[in-house]
Amino acid sequence: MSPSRQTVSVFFAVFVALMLLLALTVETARHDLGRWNFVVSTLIAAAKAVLIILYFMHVRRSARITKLLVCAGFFWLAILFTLSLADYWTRDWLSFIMDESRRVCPVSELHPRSPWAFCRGIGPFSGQTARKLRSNGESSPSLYRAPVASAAYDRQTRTGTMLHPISGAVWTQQRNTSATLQAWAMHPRN
Amino acid sequence: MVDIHASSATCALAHQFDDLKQQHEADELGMWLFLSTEIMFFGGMFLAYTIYRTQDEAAFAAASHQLDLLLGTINTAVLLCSSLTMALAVFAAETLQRRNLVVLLAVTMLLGCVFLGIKGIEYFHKFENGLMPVMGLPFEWHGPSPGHAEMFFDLYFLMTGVHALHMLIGLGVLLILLIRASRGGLLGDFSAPVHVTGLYWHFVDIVWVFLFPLLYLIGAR
Repeated sequence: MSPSRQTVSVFFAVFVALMLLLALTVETARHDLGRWNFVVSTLIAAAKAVLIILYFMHVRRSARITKLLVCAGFFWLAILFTLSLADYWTRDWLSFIMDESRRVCPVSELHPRSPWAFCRGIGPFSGQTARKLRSNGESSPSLYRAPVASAAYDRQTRTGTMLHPISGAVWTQQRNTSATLQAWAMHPRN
Repeated sequence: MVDIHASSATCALAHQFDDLKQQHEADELGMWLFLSTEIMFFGGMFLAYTIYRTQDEAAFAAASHQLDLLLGTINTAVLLCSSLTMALAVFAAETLQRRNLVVLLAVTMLLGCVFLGIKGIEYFHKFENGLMPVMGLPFEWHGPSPGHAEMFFDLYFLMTGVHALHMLIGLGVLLILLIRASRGGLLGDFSAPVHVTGLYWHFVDIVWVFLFPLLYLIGAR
């Protein structure tokens, strides 16, 4: 087979593979696989993208620096996703330290796996911070002993309030978390 | 004969490059640098999609099921076909097949137009059903979480709209290539524009390859 015939037949083989992958992804979408629907369809899309990049865009035969740049492009995308989702997907972890009752949970009572466990040993709050907590409706002074209280949860308004242990900044957020995380927040010692 | 070849090679080679191989690598590298910025451009929209979808997956699935899976699948197949014809056109340009190059570029453009036509039909159906929350048009949603359903359609029109804009730009570039190819240009050593446009066209195809499952295939259909 001449090299040119070979190139054309590779293009057609890749095209057939792409169409088969398309049929496969549409077929899997007809079955309820729960979470796996997303995983399978994304993996198939990634496989299609790799085929197109390596063969249609013939990066397979490109210079090394081009290959490096292609990888870098997707690596930058990974940085964008990792840093942004590390922010968005951890915002409601705040509810871990919120008890069922409207009370302040001392950091010393935090679950060791709680995201705020690192707060242990920081503090105590300054008088200003303690006043902020009191003006927020908390009155029991015993809760402000070191290591310090850092959060409160209001059942009625489903609003959590966190005080930054050092700056004393107050952060309020509506409760918004999945059932599993809520269950964990309710029973932090499990 | 020797002189003609020498002069044509001199024309194809810009003076800052040592040889055509180096020039070809630079063309490719430059295009991929541009495509990296495009990855980040579309990446921002994919990120916004990910954040809103994880906030209310059920609402996104319900909204996604309003899209026409058949038309979406046909469009994916049309775009994959156009990628094949584009790859073959690049090959034809490199191997000096003028006739094949012109025909394949024309077929690629035709398939691109078919894609945009089907997309237009889909947009019109969404408009008819009151599912087009763009430019102040009314949005009617009777299921739960209308806010997140509206966000799904916002993202649907934003992402497919920007993708369609890229297709239009690609079609414009292909038209220029088609005119130049029909005049006997863009062959052999001069095929860099076809090659680079091919990279762009395949990239737009890859974006759709990811858009299709993310927009049309949420949950079980």
